[in-house]
Amino acid sequence: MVEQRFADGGAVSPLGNRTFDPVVVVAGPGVEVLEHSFTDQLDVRLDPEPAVLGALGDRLRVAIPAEPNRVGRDGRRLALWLAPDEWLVLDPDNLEDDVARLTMEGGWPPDVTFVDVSAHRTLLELRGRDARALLARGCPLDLDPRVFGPDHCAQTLLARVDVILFRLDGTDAFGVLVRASFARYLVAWLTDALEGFYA
Amino acid sequence: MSGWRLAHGGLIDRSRPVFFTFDGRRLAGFSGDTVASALLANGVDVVARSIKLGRPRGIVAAGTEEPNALIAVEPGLALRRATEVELVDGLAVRSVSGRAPAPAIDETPSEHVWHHADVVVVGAGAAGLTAAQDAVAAGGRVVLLEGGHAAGPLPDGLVDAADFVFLPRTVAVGRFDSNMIVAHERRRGTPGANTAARDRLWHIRARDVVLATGAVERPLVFADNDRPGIMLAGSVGVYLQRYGVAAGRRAVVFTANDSAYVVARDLQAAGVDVVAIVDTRVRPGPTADAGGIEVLSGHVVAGTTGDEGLASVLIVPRDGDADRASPTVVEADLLAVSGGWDPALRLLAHTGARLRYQPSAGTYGVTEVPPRVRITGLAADVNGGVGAFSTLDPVWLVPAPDGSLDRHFVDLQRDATAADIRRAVDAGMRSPEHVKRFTTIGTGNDQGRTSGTNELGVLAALLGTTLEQLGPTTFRTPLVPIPMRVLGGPYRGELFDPVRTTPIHGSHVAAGALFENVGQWKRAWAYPREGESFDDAVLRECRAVREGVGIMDVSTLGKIDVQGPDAGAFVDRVYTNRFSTLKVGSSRYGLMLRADGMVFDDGTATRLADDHFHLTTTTGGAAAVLDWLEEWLQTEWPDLRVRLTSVTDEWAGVAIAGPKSRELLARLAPNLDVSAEAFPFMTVRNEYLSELPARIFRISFSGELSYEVYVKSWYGRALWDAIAAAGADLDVTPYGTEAMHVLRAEKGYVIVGQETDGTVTAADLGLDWMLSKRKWFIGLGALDRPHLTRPDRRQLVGLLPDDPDLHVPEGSALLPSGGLGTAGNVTSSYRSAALGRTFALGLLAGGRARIGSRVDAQVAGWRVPLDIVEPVLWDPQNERRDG
Repeated sequence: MVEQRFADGGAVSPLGNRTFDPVVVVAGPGVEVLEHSFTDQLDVRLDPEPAVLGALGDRLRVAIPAEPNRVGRDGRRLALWLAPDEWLVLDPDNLEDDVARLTMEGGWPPDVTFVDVSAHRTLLELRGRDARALLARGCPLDLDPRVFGPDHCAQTLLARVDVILFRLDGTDAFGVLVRASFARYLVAWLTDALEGFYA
Repeated sequence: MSGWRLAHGGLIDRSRPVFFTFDGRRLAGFSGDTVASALLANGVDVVARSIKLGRPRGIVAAGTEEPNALIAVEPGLALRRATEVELVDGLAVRSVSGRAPAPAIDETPSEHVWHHADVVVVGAGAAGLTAAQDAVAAGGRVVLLEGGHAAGPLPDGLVDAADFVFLPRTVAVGRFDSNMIVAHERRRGTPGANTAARDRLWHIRARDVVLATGAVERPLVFADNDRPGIMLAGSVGVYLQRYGVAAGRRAVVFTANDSAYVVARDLQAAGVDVVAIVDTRVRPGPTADAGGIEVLSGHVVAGTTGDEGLASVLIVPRDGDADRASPTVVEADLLAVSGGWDPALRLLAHTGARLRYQPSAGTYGVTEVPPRVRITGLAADVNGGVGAFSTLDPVWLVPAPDGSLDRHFVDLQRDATAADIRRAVDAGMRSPEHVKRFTTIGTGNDQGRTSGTNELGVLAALLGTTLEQLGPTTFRTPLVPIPMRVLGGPYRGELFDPVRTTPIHGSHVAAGALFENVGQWKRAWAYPREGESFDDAVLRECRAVREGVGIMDVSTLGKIDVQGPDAGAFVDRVYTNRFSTLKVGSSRYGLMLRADGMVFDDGTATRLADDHFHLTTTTGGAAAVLDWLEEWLQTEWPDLRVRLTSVTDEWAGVAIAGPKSRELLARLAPNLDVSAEAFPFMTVRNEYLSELPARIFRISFSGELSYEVYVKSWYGRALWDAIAAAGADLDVTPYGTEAMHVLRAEKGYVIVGQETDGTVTAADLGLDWMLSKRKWFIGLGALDRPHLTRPDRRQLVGLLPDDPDLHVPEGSALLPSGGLGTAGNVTSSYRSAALGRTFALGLLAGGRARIGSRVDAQVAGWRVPLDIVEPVLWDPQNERRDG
C-alpha cells in the first residue's frame, strides 16, 4: 500500500534518501545515526477522556498514553504524548491503512482531529554505546535510563533545533524526530559533534 | 635571582624534566610544574611591568587570584595566568607588560556538554575529595570539579567508582538557578592531550552542590607593597609543598593572623633564612607557633626598598609615631604577607546570595547558605572564622612615614592605589560600586580576587565607617575569564544558527541560484545565468512571469492546519475580514492585527471542509503566528473547539505564474479542468499532478494568472522537476525572491515587515476594505483611537522618480517638495521590466490625498523629485490575475 505511493520513484527524504530502509547518515566508532525515511506519522488531538483514548488505541492498535511524556508501544508502532491534548502516532511500516479506516468510520467526538504529518518530520535513530553521550553534547535533558526510561518521550532542543526525543526500542537507541527543513542542519551538527567526540 | 628549587619534595615528577621558553629564554622545569612555579624555581623574579606605571612585578599567588603574572601563550598569544598554565615540553610563553597583544582568532572548535548529577563537588582539595567520597558512598551520580590539574592520584573509592566523573582543569564559572553549574574544561595544551581535543563548556544540573572552593588570601596595603618578591604567604607555602620551590633565600613574614606562622616554619625548615615574623597584633593568636623565629608583634611593614626585586623591608611599631622616622631595616628577598582570608564563595553570589562582612571572621561571608548547597573545608573555616581564621586583627592601611598613599597598591593588575580611593572619596563618592568604577579596582581579569576586600577596608578607613556598612560589589559570572569561542561552542560558521532548506533546495543550487536569508530559511534570491548580472537576472525573471511562465519555490510559507467545529468562528476572530461565510474549496486573503491594531501578518485561508481551514503565513512569521493563535485559543477562548497544527514542513509548494501557467498546469494535470470558469481565482482543487497527489490553489502574489501547487514535502523535488520538464518548451523560468518582490510591488501588494514595521495600520496600507464592520476581530478595539484615524498618518503610495533610470534606495527619507522635515520613507524600490522604468512604494504623511502631487526623496544628500501615484502600477483592473 505504502509502496504504491512511491511507485513513481519521486519521493526523496529530507536527507536525500529514496528508500524505506534505514540509511546511515553519519557514524563513529560507538554510534550510528540512521534516517528512517517516510515514517508515517499522524497528529491526533482530543480531550483525554479515558474512553476515547481507549477506543482510539484499539482502532490504531497501539496504547495511547494518558501520562505526560510517555510512549505507548506496539511493535514498531508508537504513540507519543506531546501535549495535554496532542499525540503523535508513528509507524515506520504502514499507518495509512489504519488511518484511512479510522477517519472513514468516524463516530468520534467532533473535536477529535487527525492531521497527517508524515512528511513534516523525519525520524532519525541514534544507536550505539555512545549515543547518549553524543546527545548530551546538544540536549539539556537528563537521558540517564534511570531518569529517561524506555517509555519516555519529550519535546526538547537538540543543538538549536526543536526535536521530539524518545527511546526507540528500550535499548541504547534513541529516536529523534526533526522537522524536514531542519534535518540537514541537525545532521551537520551531529557530524561536527562526532568529530569532536572521537578527536 | 631569589627563588630556587628544593632538592626534595613537591608533587612534581623530578624524573621528567620539561623545557619551555619565557620571553625567548630557554628554561627547565618538571612535569607537574606550572609556568609560575617553574619561573620561581629558575629564579625569575620580574615577570611583568605594571600597566600604568611600568613598575616591575613578580608572581604574587599560586592560583586563579594571581594579579600580575599574565602570559601570552604561543602560538596565538592566548592570555593566561602563569599560575594556571601547566608546563608542557616546547611551551613558549611571553610576559605581558601592560596591555596584552591581541591574540589570534582561535578557530579550534569547542563543545558544549550537558550533564546531570546528584552531587557536584567544586574543588578537589582534601575537603572536596572527602565530600566526593561521601557522596559516592551514599550512592548517586557525583561530579568533582577541579580548576587546576590533579594534585595527586584519586583516593581509593573514587578511582573506579561508577557514576563518578572527575573533571580536572575544569573551573566552575557560574552557578545559576536550581543548582545549574556552568564549568569550563580546558583540554587543549594540557599534558598528554590530543591536540584536536576540544575545550568544553559543561552545563551540570545538580541536586546538591558542595563548595570546597577554598579561600583567597589578602595582601596587606603598605607603601611599595608591589615589589617582586612580595607574595601571599599561603601561596609561598603552596610553592614549597606542591612544587618544591622556595620563593626566596632570606624572608620576612608579615601577617595579621596566625595562618602565616606555619609558612614561616616551613620556609625555615626548607632552608630559607626567615629573619622575622612581623605581626600586626600585640598578642598573636593561640595557633601562632613561630618555631623559634623572631616575632615582632605589634609591628608593621611600613615600606620596602629594592630595584628590580625586593632588597629590604622597613619595620616599625604599629603604634607610636616617634619610631616611624627610624624604621628597622631588614634585608630580605622575600616578603610573605597575610592580611587575612576571603572564602571563595562567589558562586553563591551569582544566584543572589548576599555576602556580608562578618567581624568575627574578618571577611565577607554568609551566615546562611541557599538550599541544597553546602560549604566545606577551608572555605567553611574561613567563612566561619574557625581556628587560625578567628585570630585576625585586620589592618586595612599601613600609613607610610611620609603620609603618602600613592605607592600603597590595592589592585596590582589595575595599578590602582589607596591614593586613587582617596581621590574617589574626595570627589564625593561613598558607594563601593562607584569607587570601584572610578578607581577600576576589581575590574581586571582577576576580578579583584586579592583587591576587592582591601578596597572596601581602605574605603571604610578613609570614610571613618565600618565594613558592615559597605557591601561587597556585585560578583558576576563568569568567575574567571573564559574564551568567547568556548561560550559559542560548536555554534559558529555553518552551525551558527539553524539553516532551513526546502526539499527543492538542491535544484536551486544546481541552477546556480543566489540565496537570501529569510528568517532561518535559505530562499533562492535570483538565478543569474553565466555572465548575467544580478539585476539583469531579476529583470529577465520578472519578464518571464509577465510574458510567459515562471516557477518559484514557495515551500517556506508558514502553514497551519485549523480544525474543529468552531474553526470558522476562530478564523473570523483572528483575521480582520470574514471567513465563516467562505465556501468550501475557496480561499481568501486575510490580514491579522495585533491587539493594538497594527498589522501583524498576512496570508490566505482556504476552507477545506466546514470545520477545516488551511492557513498560510509569511515565511518569517510562521512560528510567531502559531504562538499568537495558540495564546488566544488557550488563554482567551478555551471554549472554542479548535485545534491548530503546524504543517509548514509537511507541504512543499511551487508557484506557477504567468500567462502561460494555465497551459502548463493543463499538461501536468490532464484530469483537471483548468478553464477560468471551472477553476476560478481563489479556489482550490485536489488533483494528481504528474502522478503526485497535490493540492492546487489558484492564487497570485504576482498579479498574473497563477497557481500554487502543494505536495507532500518528500515529493517537492519531483514536483519541481516535473514542472520544469513539462514546461521546457514554454521556456519555464525559475524566479527568486527578488523577482517576486518586484512583481508584487508592481501590483501594490505589501510585504509585512517591509511596508510595515509594527506601527502601520491596515488603513495606512489602503487595506481598510479588509476590516469587517460586522464582526469582532483582534485589534478592532484599537482602530478608532484618534491617533490611528488622523488624516496625516503615513499612508502607502506609489512613487515614480522623474528619471526612469534612477533607483531610489529603500529607506530613503521623503521630504515635502521644496519643504523641510521628514514626511515619510521609501519602503520598496525596484527596476521594473514591465513598466520599463524604476518605481517605488513608500509611506507618506497624508499620502492618499497627495496622489497626483510631488514629493522629494533624500538620496545621497540630493533631493530627487518623485511623482506620487496610486500604489497599484500593474493591471489595476486585475484582468490578468482573474482571467
